[in-house]
Amino acid sequence: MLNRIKELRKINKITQDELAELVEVSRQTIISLEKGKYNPSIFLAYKISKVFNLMIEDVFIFEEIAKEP
Amino acid sequence: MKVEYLIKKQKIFSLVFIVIGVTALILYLLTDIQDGIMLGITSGFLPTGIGLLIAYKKAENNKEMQKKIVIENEERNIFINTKAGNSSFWISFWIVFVGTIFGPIIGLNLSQFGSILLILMGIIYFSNVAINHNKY
Repeated sequence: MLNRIKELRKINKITQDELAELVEVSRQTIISLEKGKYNPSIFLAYKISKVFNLMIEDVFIFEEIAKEP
Repeated sequence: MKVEYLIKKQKIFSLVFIVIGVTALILYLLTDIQDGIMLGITSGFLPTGIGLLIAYKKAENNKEMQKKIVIENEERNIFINTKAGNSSFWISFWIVFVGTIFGPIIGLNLSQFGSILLILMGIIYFSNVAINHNKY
């Protein structure tokens, strides 16, 4: 699943470590999420979206929707 | 998952290890049942159980250790361990199948096959964990 985590982190000036601590996961998980290698559970997706004060769909992009013209 | 629940779970797990170790020690001291194996089980389970219990008792009042415990049990790690366990089960299943068919032909007895299988299962599981850590 595509996501804007890296972009939003840079906008909000948060490091991977800081974001990992805020959502109670390891830094490796944040790295995997940013690379699109791992899809988070709804709980983790919600926690991450809350950090950036956005809705889940503003942070995570479902590929079927991304492909729509 | 709450850290208190995780610590409690691990303390119960370590108590089980201690009980197994003590039982094996009693059997070693008081009976002649599989002396070597009982001593091996005691040497493995008892110190591990005691060590785990001490570590998790310390973790109750240590925020840094509690953070590490939460991260060890994060969803990605659980996902990877579950996936590795699933793959390992099926690989081991086929090894048992092949061993059952060809073991008697090459003169492998049950005890030897069991020992080889135990070692292989460990290697297969941890290899799968490493592969999945890289993949996800």
